Amino acid sequence: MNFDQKHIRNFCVVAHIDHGKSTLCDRILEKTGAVELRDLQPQLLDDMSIERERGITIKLNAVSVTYKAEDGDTYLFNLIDTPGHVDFTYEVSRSLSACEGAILIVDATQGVQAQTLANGYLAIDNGLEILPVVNKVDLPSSNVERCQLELIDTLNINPDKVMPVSAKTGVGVEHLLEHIVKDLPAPQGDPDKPLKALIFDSKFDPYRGVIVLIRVMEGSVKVGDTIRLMHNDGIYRVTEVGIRTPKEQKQDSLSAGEVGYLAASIKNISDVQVGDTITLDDNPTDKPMPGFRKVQPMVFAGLYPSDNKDFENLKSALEKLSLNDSALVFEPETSVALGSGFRCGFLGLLHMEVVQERIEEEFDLDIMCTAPSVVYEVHFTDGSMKMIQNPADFPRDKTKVRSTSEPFADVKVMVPKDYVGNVMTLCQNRRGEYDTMHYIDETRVTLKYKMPLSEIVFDFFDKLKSVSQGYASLDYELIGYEVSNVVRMDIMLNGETVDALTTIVFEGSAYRRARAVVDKLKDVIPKQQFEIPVQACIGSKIIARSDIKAVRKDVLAKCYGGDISRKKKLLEKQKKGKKRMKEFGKVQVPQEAFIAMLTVDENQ
Amino acid sequence: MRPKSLYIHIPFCEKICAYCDFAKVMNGTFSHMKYLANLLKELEEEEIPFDSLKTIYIGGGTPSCLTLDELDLLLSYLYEHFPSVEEFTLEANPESLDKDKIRLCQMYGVNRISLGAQAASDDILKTLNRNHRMKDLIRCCDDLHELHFDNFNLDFIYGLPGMTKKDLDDDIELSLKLKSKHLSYYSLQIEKGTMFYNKHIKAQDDEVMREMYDYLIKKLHEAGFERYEVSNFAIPGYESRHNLTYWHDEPYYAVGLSASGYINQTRFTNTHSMTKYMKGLTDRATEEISSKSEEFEFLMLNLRLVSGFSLDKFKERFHKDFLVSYQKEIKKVEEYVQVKDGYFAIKPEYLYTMDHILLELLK
Repeated sequence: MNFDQKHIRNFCVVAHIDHGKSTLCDRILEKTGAVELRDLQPQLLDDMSIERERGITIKLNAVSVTYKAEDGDTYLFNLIDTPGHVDFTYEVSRSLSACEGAILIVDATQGVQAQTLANGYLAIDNGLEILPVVNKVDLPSSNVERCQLELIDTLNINPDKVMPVSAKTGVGVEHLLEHIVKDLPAPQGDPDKPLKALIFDSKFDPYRGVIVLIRVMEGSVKVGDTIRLMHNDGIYRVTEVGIRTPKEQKQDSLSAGEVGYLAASIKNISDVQVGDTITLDDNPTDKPMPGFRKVQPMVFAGLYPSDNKDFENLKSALEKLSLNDSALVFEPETSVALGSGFRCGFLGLLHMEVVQERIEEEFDLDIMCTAPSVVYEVHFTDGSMKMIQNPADFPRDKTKVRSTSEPFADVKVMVPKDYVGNVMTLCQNRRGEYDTMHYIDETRVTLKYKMPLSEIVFDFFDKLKSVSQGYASLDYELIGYEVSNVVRMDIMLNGETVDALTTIVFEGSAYRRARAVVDKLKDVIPKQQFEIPVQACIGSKIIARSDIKAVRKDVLAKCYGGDISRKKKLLEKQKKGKKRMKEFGKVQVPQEAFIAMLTVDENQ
Repeated sequence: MRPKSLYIHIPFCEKICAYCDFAKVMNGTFSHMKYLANLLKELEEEEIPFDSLKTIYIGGGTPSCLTLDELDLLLSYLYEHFPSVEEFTLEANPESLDKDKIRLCQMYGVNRISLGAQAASDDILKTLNRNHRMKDLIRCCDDLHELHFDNFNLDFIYGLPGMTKKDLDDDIELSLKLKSKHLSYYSLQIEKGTMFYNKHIKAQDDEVMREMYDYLIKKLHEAGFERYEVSNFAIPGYESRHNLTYWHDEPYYAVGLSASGYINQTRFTNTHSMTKYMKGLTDRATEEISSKSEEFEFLMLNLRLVSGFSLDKFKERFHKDFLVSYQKEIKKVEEYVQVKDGYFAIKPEYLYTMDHILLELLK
């Protein structure tokens, strides 16, 4: 299969979450015949089971398909699917650099949303040609005209170019395919120049080492070439190149304009950084591709095996997961309460949940996850500074602390105007500092706030959805550290401090938060045979208390012949839940308690 | 171990009680005789040795809603086939147990009756959707005494919403007045699919239940009834031997619609579908009990008994010393359990919260 550049189209699909990216990709695969209808599981590009279950794309994926256009020629389409969640913005940006065009999807029933804009702007910034598509036109509540108007107002997109499609039924998809050929530019890199290829994704294969997904910008690469990764100077010999259709198909070489995979016996995924540039060792390109940055974890949490014997197993699970997930970082730590475990860094809360679920499902390990935290800066009076990832490392005694700071972000919320009040109240309660508000059209508003990241990463998005009946959408961008008066809040159960429940809280709302936390813990920690006091303290001062009453009845009234199996299964299930609990002294604390710490609403 | 007990299920009912989640069918929708024929066929297939049974329990449903002739057929069959039975219980509802049926029972060796009394108030009986009223219960117990059938049990329910201490006092007073030898007091438990469940009725909260329970134990004790299992009280010597089979975790046969048995390390449950059963299909769902599971079932059941279990018996059955093998687990619950005269038991005051203790003992 050989295509000159004129017959290649590289494009990605960007959209707000749930606007139908993966479904449209499925439809394109089906229409171009890359996948037989019977092989078509819904959302074929989503490899991970969690992705399919949740209907969201986490790792991106690339596929090459051929399309016979109306002009009689056959074209090679390289399609790159992108993740649609705020946690994964960098992954979107790197896939954009590999393309000349982007299909921008808008859900016809919801209109333009915060990430339609965020991703749309990213695509325009990267110089991509936009093919605007309004999806889900089969639904009765769809409103194409409204979407067209919003697209002019926000991204200055010509309404005549907007294509109505239904990825579900296939309506309009053939029309879209023609426009990919007609409207999107062909790649233009010079195949005779030195190799310059962009890494936009990677995964680990136990037999071939790291498989790198690349877009060749200039030059070409073939089996046997000695390549260099420009940001980490690693030198490797290429063992295989090819394209994915979506099954892997070996090729002799990949040259300028093409998208495909490359294997070079690379042992560690951490040696391959997304956004890095590959060139030939003996004939290097002069400059790497711009835009490279190291992926930085934003949220840290402790992961501990429920059973301390599983420490090594957890370690190997994390190692295996990080083979395919360069954003996941971890290092060992110990907690008085939980024993030995790992402090792990994640892109955001979704990423954390995904990792947690994969450890439990794919490695069959029971784990405890402590309340996630952002990284705080503590500046001491002696001029030194410490970055605190683990709340338990935060000084209790603040006399030696000159100041503390935490990461802030610019937050952009798009919301129908009827919910502006609700959203503003929410932002205010989350220590948001109002910046601007402007109307996109007569019905919708963009609100901008500056807010501490710690207030955003946990349940802000869920709360935002609930105060706006699901209509609000969110995008945020980190702007750096700012001074913020935070303190360490400890929790005592039955008189004993549980280091794993320690959190860092904003001093101004510490009392309200403490009350909410102890009340919540009272609800999630199961009753035991004795009464358990739950106390929150700052320093040595107790600022809130709630008591868990002793259990009074739990026995089954009747247990005769037919009840035995049922009762046993019930107890076994409870026991399973109990095994996931951690014992602090005599108190058993379920996993939810750690998360509950952060999802409490101190304003209720 | 060869089973020494047999459970027989008779699913017919005149009226469906609001709390009941047992398998039952409205009387008149299926032929009793045809059901009995299938039942006896199933029984024959079990090939129960002639002299092996010590207890039989006919439960339901409402076994007493069989006619005299039907009852005659069933009881005479059992009487002829299992002469070694020592305790033979028939479950009955007061309105459908008359002198003729009692005499029939006596003739065929039925020596224990379990009556669904449930409450000492017609209003509560109505709420429970019971088919009998107070007068039926009093009449039935009078008949039993008159025919010198003294060994009977009364079932009561407590913890209905709105039930007061006075109601409980009335129940206790009535149960003592009727001079039974055995009492079962069950806390109301709302099961899925029951009328109460569908009406979103909630039982009283645990705190109230606990108060009622503690009060019951005290009152019944004063009257000579000893609690021997979580919900069961008896004049000493009148404990239900059949039910002790379950709590001792011993094997038992079972026949009839949705009946559950335990034979050769395997628990089974017959089909819940009357249509299937009437076609002669039992469609047994079986579960083989692993030795680990068996140990847990043993604890789960035996610890319902105030006496707990004999450490020797544990050793004989599982070939290990309970106190050694469960040392770590026992340590966690040491305040709530006791070892006395070679028996391991939950302290009586913790019986009502025994699930918490079991969960610690479950390995």
